Amino acid sequence: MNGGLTKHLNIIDYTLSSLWRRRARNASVLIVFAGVIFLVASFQFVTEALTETALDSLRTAPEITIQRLSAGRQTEVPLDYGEQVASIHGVREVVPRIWGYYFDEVTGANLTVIGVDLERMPLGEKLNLTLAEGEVPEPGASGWVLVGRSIKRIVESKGTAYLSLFRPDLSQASYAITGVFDAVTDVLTNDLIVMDIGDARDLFHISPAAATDLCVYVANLEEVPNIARKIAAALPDARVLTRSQISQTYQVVFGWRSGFASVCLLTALAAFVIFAWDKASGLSPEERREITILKILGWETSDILAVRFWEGALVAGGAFIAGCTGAYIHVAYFDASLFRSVMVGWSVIHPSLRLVPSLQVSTLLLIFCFTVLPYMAATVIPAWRSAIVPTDSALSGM
Amino acid sequence: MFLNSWSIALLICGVLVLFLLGLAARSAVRVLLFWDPDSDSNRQIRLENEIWLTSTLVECGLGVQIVSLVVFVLAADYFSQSIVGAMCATGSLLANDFGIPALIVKIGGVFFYGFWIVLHQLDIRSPKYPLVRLKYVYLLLLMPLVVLDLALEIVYIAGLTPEIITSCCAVVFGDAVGGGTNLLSGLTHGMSLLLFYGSALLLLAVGVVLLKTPRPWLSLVFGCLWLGFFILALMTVTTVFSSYIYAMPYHKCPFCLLKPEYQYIGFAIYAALFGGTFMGTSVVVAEPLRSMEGMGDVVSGYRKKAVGVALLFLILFSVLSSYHYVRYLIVGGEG
Amino acid sequence: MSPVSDKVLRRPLHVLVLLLACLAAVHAVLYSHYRHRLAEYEARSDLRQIATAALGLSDLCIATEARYTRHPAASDAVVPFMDHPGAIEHFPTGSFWAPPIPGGIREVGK
Repeated sequence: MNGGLTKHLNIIDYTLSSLWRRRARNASVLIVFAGVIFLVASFQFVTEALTETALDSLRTAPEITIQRLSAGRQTEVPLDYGEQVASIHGVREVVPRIWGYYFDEVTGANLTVIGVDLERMPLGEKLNLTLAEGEVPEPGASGWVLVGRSIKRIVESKGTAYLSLFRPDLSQASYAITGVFDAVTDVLTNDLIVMDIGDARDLFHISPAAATDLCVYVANLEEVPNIARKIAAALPDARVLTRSQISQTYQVVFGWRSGFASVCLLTALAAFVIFAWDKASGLSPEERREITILKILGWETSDILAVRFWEGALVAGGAFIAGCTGAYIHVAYFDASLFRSVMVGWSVIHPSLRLVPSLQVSTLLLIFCFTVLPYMAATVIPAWRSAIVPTDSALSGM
Repeated sequence: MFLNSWSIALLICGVLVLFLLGLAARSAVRVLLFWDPDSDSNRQIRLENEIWLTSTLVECGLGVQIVSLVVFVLAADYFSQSIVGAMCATGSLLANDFGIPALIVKIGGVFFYGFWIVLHQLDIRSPKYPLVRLKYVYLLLLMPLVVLDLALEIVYIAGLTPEIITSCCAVVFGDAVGGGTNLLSGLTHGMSLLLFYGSALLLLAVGVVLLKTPRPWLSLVFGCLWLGFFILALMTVTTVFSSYIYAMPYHKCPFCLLKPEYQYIGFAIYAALFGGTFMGTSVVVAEPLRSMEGMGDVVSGYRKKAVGVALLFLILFSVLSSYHYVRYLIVGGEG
Repeated sequence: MSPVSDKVLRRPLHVLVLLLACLAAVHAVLYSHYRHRLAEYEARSDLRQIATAALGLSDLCIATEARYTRHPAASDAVVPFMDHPGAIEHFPTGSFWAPPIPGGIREVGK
């Protein structure tokens, strides 16, 4: 074997035994460090998995959505707007949609009710595939709903087979549940009640000449920004939202949030760095004696620095592996349950996220930057201090 | 866009480099003021110990700098998702005036911190530490670079906003565009390949001659050739090899290589190129020190090692970068 | 135990290598399960895309407590404060989900 390699292997050997000798101290550093890495990594994994899901799932969102603003609030869009938009060159189809929120007073849950004309929506004929039970009724039928799994659970807990909702005038409307969405689409459909557009209009008392918003489909995707600009010019009180804006919103929201959380986690990191610095600089008399003896035995300052380097590398490496593994298990198998309360807040409906954290080199490198590098920087000077203990000082007390 | 994980990671790296090298500079000032090799005083012994501190600090600084270079490119790639028109790191680096300078300064940092380590390694081989003054003056000269690096990084990140409209790599490196950035497309495909392989062979030949018959001027030629080859190689990888790796004739980009879709092959390619260039040019740095007392053998030994390693990296780089091209020639299109 | 193997195990380096091997095994299992889940996730992503397209969805259903966190993409940045004059945004997820105020990307053509 090569001489330098043998030397380093021996140094690692020595480092391991010295780590073991001071196991209580090293274990405390390792555990705290692993905890910090676990937090940073969990957060990174969650945001990345959510961004990924958003980008992937919302790829087929309507190309352009038109909403109308009145007094700074979103209000109903007159269907005339749809005709105006349809006359713009390049617009393939304009589909009115009615949707809104429904507050269920019994459970305190906020539900989303969507009324669409499935025949006119893209891929509407395939919606059956996303249902775990039941199926989409024939066109023209009314009085049916397709519900997300949480709604199904709420209805079941009430012990009825029908979903009863109240109109604004408190008269009751009942719907037969003809289908329940699959768990795979939970992240999109968990709180949804999908019904016929006519039923939704009746439920919310929206006039037949209006809709909540208009979904616009365009012949040539390259033209979307131009058409959006034309619509914005033709309808001054409209808010025009394109598909790319939706995914950008998600990217920016998640990026900003994860940055914000990272700043919060930096305080934990700073505390840890001070802790590590402190642990590393407190040189006990035994350690001084040990280093002195090593030096008398012929070790050089560089060898002792190498021992310190390996010590740091082993502790940091161990903590990094433990922290990241823990974070992965936390996110992938426990649905990031520690962060769930922050993400869902007071929501009554908790969709199962089924996150698949993306294991990319870039994510791991990011976590490495946040944790291992500051730790390393914090221990350089203490390591050096311990390596330059003069040979005469410690032995004088023996 | 300061408030996202990548910007914060970059800033952490920048501040750490500043911290580590700043501490090193502090001891550099002390060493330069009070260094006296003939003295036996306590202060001299303390200073000799401080040499270890500085070298450890600079080594750590170099490590962090390398990580931060990678993070910078990956961060640019991440930013591209929220910038209009950008598809990869190219777009976000061009999104304001400070992206490319920041990248260049970062790469420069890796090389210049590395050269310091080379000096240090040569210095400690000799018991008298003949290079101490040179080494510490050089270290102080590095400080502006460190500050510039961090400053450019901050200005670059501050100038990034989602509204900026930039262009993607297909536009910047594509053939059809005659823009200012496009000096890469001046050569034809065959010409640049010929130039690339020709200079690689030349470099190999010079290196082998240098190993056999060491001459100072030959070292200089070797180092300069490496520098030229470095730039040429970056261009060739961008304009010729990258599209074979992507298996798309019009996709030419030096940064997309680093993505997982291509098995991270870019990291291997660039690591080999940077390693080779560093070892090759470090010969030039070491060569003038030969004349110093007691350094002759040390420098010769180092040169032999450096040239050998540089040539190994050269071969590795050529194999890695041409692999997809050669496979295309033999197997044909996407198989 | 033979004296040779006894000596081999006494070297801490070998314990480390053993530990690393165990870790590698654990990670291999985790990784293979990850590949499996990823493949499954990708295989069913078309279902999510169908739901998005057919219902014209614009947002993920994660936080359902407030309308602006249920539909961050389809609501304005000021929505959290619109419920009545002087309204104070108070939902916990508001700090996590409410959209930032990116001047340029919300409105087209202005």
